[in-house]
Amino acid sequence: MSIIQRIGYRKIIYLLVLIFTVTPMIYPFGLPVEVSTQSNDLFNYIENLPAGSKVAINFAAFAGMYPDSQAATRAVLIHIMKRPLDIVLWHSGPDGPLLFDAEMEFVSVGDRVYGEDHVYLPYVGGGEATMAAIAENIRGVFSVDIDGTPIDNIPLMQNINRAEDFDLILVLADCGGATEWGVRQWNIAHGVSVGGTPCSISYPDLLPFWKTGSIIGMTNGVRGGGEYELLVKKPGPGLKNTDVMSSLHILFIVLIVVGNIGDFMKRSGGGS
Amino acid sequence: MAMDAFVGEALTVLFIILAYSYLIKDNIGFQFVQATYVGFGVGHSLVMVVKYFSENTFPSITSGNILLVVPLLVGLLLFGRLVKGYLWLYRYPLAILVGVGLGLQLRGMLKANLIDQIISTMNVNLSATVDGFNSIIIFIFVLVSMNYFFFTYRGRQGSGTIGSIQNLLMKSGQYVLMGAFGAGFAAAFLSRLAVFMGIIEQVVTFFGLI
Repeated sequence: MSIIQRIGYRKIIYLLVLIFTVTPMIYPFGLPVEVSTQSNDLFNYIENLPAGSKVAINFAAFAGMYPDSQAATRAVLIHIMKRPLDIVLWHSGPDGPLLFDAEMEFVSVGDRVYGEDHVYLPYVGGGEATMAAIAENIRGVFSVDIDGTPIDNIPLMQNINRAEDFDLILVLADCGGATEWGVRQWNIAHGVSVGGTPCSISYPDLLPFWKTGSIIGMTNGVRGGGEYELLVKKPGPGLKNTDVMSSLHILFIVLIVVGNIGDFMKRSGGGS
Repeated sequence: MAMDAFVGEALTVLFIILAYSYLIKDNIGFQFVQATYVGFGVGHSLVMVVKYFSENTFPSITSGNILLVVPLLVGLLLFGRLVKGYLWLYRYPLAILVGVGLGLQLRGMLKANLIDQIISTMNVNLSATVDGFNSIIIFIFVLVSMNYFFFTYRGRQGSGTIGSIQNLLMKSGQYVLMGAFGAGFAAAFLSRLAVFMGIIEQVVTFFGLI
């Protein structure tokens, strides 16, 4: 019995995955990243919004899947905070406030004034029904902001109460359908443009909505994060992890080819 | 690094290592991490929900919006299933939840998921560009995929040329569906991989390798 058979093929693969993950982290290759049309569309839409436009953000992150869309979410937050836009953000995941606070350590709000230029609302559950309720009457869902200040006392909220008061809704770090809720409850029902930073799981499901124009632009997981970092000229975890992703892809392709050759040889040799 | 931050990061790394120790063999360390993670997640969610109620719902009720008591009471009926003999109570809020959810979904679904998609598929771009090529491919793929679900003539295809064409269309539909499922699986795998990368990065950073 060979040493590989003694350890077990599965454990060898785990070890290879670890090596192919850690090596590019320590020694990045700096492989070129091509910006996709979808990421470009999102960037251009935000970039071309007139000053004073109102943007709603549904921060849909939950800790279990956040690393996939973290880079894109951070890059979009950097971009949106840099632009003179009025932002109203709420959380649809219970982990959201913790993750958002950690993210804001990397995002500069510049000379923005809380309450006048941006407002953070608390976590609210309820999924699609809540998203629809916020679109109809924001005061029916939130009576205070995340710090407990009544929203009627917040200057920015004076003229905001429903979806029609916004020019764009961004669904950030969605991994479980929140962007589709946005399309159904904000775009179709109220005509508000939708954009987002979904993780790779949700991305293929959302592409048809981008094609029809319901979604104006979006990023695709870690790779999309790298692309958006290039667009906002703030290299970060997205570009670094795109290298790791490429390295792991090479490993998986080699493993698939080796596995198929092994299987083919076993069959042609008549082995079981 | 401050002591509390160091302890926090050290604990994180320890939990990550214990969690992945499952790949070698199931062990008590992994089980401890698993139970802690689930417990922390549920506890945190519960606190966040209570916080929302105490800061948003209750002040609204006390300030005059007394109608909010109705959904609150209907929501409480969901706990009926925890009490023996009152299981039937939870069916009413559940029926409302399913009904409202379905109604809301249908409102947007008809246009976003059906009408717009049909228009987009039918809108074939006949130019000699990548977009044009894609739109033709999508149009063909949609047709052959739908053909795969015409069960009326499956298994009794005609013979000769018509039979061969039917067979070819069905096989093509099958391959298109397999390709779509494969792409979906790859996307799910990619997301998990990204989470793994994020976690390993924390460990590598803690040990000062990057």
